[in-house]
Amino acid sequence: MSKDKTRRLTLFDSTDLAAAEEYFTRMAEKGWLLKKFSLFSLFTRCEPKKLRFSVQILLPKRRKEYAADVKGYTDLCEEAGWRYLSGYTGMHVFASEKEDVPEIVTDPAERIAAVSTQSKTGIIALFIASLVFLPGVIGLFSNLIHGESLLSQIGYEIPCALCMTSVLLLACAKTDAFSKWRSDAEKAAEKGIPIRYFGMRETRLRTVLFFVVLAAILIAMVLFEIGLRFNAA
Amino acid sequence: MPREALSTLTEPMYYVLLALTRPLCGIEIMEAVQELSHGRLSIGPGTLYTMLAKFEDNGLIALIPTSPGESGKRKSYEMTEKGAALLRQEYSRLKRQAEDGKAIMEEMT
Repeated sequence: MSKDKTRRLTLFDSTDLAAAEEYFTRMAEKGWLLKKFSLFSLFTRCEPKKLRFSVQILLPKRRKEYAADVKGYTDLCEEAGWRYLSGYTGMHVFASEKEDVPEIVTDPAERIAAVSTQSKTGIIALFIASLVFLPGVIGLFSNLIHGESLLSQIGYEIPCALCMTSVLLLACAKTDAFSKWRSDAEKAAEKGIPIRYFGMRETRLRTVLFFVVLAAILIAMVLFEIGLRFNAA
Repeated sequence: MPREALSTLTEPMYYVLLALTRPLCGIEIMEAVQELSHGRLSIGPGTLYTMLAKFEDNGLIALIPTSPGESGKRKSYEMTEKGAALLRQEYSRLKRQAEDGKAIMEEMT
């Protein structure tokens, strides 16, 4: 890839819109403007500049007409001074060089409804996805009952157990973040103050916690294996 | 998806319908709402889009058709008879509420 383009991992949840906006702002300040939003977003070289970003969730109300909906939505935002950059899985990114452009969504109920739908869909999908690894996990426990060691199951059962644990952990982390966000958002809406999304610091902390718990599970498995060998000896 | 019928209007909805008593495009509606509410209310383009789609689905407003030569022109909307009837109904409701509370509020002050 030429030096005028770069790809970056941009994994943001619907409760992390502030983190996404913060990230795109920092990238623009470093001279990288978002070109295509995806899991590995594409950025192109630009003059380093201070831009205001807004990431919004637009859910398909009428699935067949989603493209027309996005077009209508983005046209109206562009009329108001926002430039549409790109969209991915219902999240759409806008930028503006002006500081005084109006907020895109001013209705708190609309914000809460959009994040709720998006989050719940993601959480349910993760719980369902975790079931793919269930046969391996059942096999793991069944083998353990029959006295097999963990090491002998490193080819299939252990990876299945780790994958299922990771997906379930992710689903639990998402559920926790969403519950906290929703409760704060509803309180903010009642008081008439702006709804706050999680920023970079909070999302990083959540990621670190995820890996710490996963590492703890791995260590527990190793200790379990040592225990088994010690008992066998 | 079934239509969500509108029987009463929220405050922003009321002002958007008030603004649409004359044909306006999106940005003009946003400006008109600020003006009509004396700067008290502002509606973002995303919220306005959702609201206009809901109004259109309920037949309260209609998109003004553009001629083929005007394809790049901004979309403009106007209120329908049904929209005007709902606006009048909402105005009467708000007026009645204010009148009902008038005597008590005057006693309080």
